Amino acid sequence: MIETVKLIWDLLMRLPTNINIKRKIYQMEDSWDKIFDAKNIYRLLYCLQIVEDFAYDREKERGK
Amino acid sequence: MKESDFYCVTLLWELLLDDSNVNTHIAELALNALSSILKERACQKLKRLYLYKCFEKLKQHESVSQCINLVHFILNNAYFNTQLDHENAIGTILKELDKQFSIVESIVADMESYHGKVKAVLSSQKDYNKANIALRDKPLVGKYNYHINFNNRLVFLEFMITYPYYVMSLSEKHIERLWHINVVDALFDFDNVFFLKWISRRPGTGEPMFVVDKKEVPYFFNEILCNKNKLDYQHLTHDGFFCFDSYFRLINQLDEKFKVGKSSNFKVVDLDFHGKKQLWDMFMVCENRETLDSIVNLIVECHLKLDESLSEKKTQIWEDFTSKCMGFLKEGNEKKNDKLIDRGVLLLMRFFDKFEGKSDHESRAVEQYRYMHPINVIVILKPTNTPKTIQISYFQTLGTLRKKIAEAFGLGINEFKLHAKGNVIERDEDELQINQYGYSGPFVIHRVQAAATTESTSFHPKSIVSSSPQYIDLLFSLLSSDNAGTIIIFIQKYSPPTSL
Repeated sequence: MIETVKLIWDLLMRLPTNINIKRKIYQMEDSWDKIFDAKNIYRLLYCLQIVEDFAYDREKERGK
Repeated sequence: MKESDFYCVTLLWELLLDDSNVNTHIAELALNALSSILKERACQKLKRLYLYKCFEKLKQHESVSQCINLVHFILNNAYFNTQLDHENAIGTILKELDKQFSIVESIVADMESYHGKVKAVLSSQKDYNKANIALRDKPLVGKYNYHINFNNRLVFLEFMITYPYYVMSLSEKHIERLWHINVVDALFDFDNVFFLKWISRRPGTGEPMFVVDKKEVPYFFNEILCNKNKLDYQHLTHDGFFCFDSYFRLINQLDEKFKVGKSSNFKVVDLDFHGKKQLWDMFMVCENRETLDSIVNLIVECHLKLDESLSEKKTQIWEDFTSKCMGFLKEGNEKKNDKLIDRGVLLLMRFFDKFEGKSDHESRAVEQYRYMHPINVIVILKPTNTPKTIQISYFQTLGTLRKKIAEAFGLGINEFKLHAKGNVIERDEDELQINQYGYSGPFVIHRVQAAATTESTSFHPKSIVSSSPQYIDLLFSLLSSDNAGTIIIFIQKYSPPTSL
């Protein structure tokens, strides 16, 4: 199971960021709990990475 | 010409036979002595007599290993390897012997006979199992070790069916019988490996060589290699798959479904190619990890290496392939089948790798030599004549060179054409090492605008997955099955998502 999860995570990390999730985070129109869904810890981690990405390159992202 | 006119010859013959009372060493000395005598010019007619005697023994399944050696020796030393129809030409004597003894049938029948005798002996051996290689070094039947008997027969058969100036070939029945004794009912695992290598594609200086005649290839491929009862897909070995792969390429080339180029690289012309279903069957059931890797490579190649005639369908083919891979993940999720999920991910990742021009061959076999024999290669970008010097190992591939050029010039891998010696280096030559290519520069590149706007930038199969809410939800659903334990692994070493 661990190996399978690792494989899927690796696959997810190889993909371009999902634009819908990214948009939801950037627009912050939904509730915090809905965007950062702690029930699925991997989805939460994925979202946090997008936030991190945004935080490190805020100016560039704002210009988009 | 009487045999009795020559001293010792009959004695030497009797000594080398299996039923003589001497040990193997003495029998071997007798064989060598007889061979030396028969080589002499005065023995010209005796040679023919001994060829007949040897083939009679082959027919009777007696002392075959020695007789095979003697026949080989006589043919190679007393007859001429010529296309001319001459009484002392190998082709002429083979024609005569074949008429008398049906050479290929005799060899195959003898192999079956030997197999049966050894099988009976092994059934009473307590330490017998297929992996016990030590038993192959014992003289189980006759004076010689099993492995000598086994090898001699295959080498002899190969000599006969590949001799260019007198054509003999394996019939459907011969192939079936050989497959049975050497694969389905192999006495040792090693026999299986040896036979599969023997019957598979051999690299040659020109076209690859096959021991199965072209007209028998459809039968061999469709009735044997595509038959799960005859080739065990679940426990398929690397050699078993190599055999399938060899004839898969050949039959599709013969039926013009593939264009096969250098190093057996191919391009798919017709998507309805032979062996497609079997390839997927193997993918689903094969338990050997190394073999599965090769199966995945071949499946991906069949979807990526498409002929120009299919260029309009390329994007659709890649979308369908990506959907199929994601379908495995979906089905695996519904049925809680980790094996299916693993395979789906493996296939998708390999597809991305190859789509991006990463070579599997590069990463495994050649990368260990990356620091050996470094050379500086000059690359010139036309028409601006911008030169760059790239360091690469003599043992790295043209694919690596292409990648380094792309990095050095800030181009995508599909955004330029690589030229050398006045010719374009095609992508299917990427696995050639620089030393094999035999040229170390200067290389010339030309930017290709069209490629930049089609495959490499506007379309990438990764986008199909990442832009689909269903696929992304599926991936998170699969991950959620492990919502507690292993997250810490990723927190320690995660990397941010990539951007196209």
